Amino acid sequence: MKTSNKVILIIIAIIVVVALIPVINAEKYKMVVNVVEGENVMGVNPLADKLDFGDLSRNNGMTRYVNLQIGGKIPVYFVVWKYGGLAELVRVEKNYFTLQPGDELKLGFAVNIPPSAPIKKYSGGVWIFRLPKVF
Amino acid sequence: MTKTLKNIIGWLIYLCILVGLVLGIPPGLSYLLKTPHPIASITSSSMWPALKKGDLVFIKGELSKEDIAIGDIIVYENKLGFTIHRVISKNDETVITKGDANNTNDAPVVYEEIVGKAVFVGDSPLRIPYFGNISILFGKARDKI
Repeated sequence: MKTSNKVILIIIAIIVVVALIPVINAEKYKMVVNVVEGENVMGVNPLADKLDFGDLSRNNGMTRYVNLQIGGKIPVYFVVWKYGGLAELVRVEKNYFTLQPGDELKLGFAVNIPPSAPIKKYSGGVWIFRLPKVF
Repeated sequence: MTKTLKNIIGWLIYLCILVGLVLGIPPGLSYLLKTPHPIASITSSSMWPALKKGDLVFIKGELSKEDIAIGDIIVYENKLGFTIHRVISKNDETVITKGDANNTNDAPVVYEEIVGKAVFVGDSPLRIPYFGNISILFGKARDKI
């Protein structure tokens, strides 16, 4: 293999690793809500491993929280990314923000079920990227 | 003819077709759908789940009062820009619209404010998911300039 090709391969490998680390380190939660018939129905199934909003009827809402802490000595920049069928119904209290070392934040994820929501189970996910803010 | 020259000509033809498509689609759609605003990006969740944020929808223009029926999704112009909501009632002077995901009706819309209505395929509006995000991004970038 030519030296130039080796250099290109090494650069590509570095870029891949740099891009992969935040993805691997991201906090990943599944989100789920069960839209049910009726009015003012709220059934909570609090599971720690996912953002489970339980059973909710239309025109109803629920907020779940994720605790963010900065343990090291470098400020951390947070980016929240939602995906899936539930993503459009969930509002994140805050996105694209920095926490300083020692800071703690309860980040709220609020779901609101509109009157047009079909009765069914919705799921999705959220990734919270933690990017060390070196510069 | 050398292989390199053939490649260059091939790429130029490809580029011309691409530019032609990009420049030609909007006026072509305007002509076909009879409106200066043939496509619209969905920027809110007020019509969820019929229309989702980031969808691209097609708008048909040149409508008479009789062309607008209850259940149609119409686009109208107001002080804030354009709104795309569903018709829930109509009379001789105005139509009343509401976002599917909203709990309240909109203010009455006079027929002159209506730009067009969404093109339907069967019971659902014709939409291209995610493609509306491109124009939303361009809009945000333009707003920042």
